[in-house]
Amino acid sequence: MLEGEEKLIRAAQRGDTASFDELYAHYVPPIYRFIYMKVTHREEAEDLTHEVFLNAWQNLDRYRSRGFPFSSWLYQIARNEVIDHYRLRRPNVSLEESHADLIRAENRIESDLDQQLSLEEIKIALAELTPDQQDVILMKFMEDCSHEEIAAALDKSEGAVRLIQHRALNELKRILASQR
Amino acid sequence: MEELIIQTLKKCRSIEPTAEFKDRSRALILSHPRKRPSLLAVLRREAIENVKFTLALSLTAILLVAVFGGIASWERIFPNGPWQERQNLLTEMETANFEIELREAEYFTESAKEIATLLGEIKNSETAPVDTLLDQIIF
Repeated sequence: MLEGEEKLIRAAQRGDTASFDELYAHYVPPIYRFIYMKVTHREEAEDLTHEVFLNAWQNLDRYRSRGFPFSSWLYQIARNEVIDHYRLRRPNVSLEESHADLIRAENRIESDLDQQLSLEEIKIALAELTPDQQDVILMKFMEDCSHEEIAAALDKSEGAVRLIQHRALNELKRILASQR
Repeated sequence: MEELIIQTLKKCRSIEPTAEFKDRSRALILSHPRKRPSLLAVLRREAIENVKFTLALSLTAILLVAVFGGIASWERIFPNGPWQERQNLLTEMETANFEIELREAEYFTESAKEIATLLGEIKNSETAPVDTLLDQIIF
């Protein structure tokens, strides 16, 4: 959670662009990553991330803090954007193009000689999970969100989130084992 | 395998949008006018806030009345409440006390008459031993 987040949100709600700018700078990387792991290529992730923050800026008055960080609200918007994206504009991307994107992304990840799992393998395995399972895995292990935050973003109980996480990890293990 | 999955996901944290994208997107977003909430939405929000405040205030007032007003206020407001039974019991107890006092008065009147008669007999009888007469009075 960003320090002084409540104040920044209230100021942004009053129309203070500098405050929103701060919120944007803090939250754009995790939201971009979250979307990137769920779509096929970088341009889609950028377009959707832009839509998420535009939506947040335009509807900031509707945000109500109920003890959860602003990120839960942003993840909620991001989830809906990805769902709409797949429902309305089914992507038609060539395999070569998405593969090239993955290689570029992998190059940005610190190369580790002992690394046995590639980003590509993880992305392919993640795509086989249900949307809820993908969200829980990404928010929990990639972004280190608490179960409470994930539950708020997914509108589920913490118990349900833990159960989804457990099933998703088992499913990922099964998929990755079968890939090898 | 689980550790490996988690490690790989943690490494994905280095994925970042490009600085060019961030600048362009931010500029575009902030140049967009904010949607003003509709009058209905504002009124609804205000109404909800007001209801919450009024409810909290009313509950506090009720609590204060209950604490400082006490049972007496409730007795005045609801004369047929459960406390009416307590009142009936008190009346019954007072009546019982009164009856006991009447019986005692009756007893004392009768015994006073008996004592007066016996004292008269003592006075008249010079032969009767005083102790016997006293025993009669006492027992």
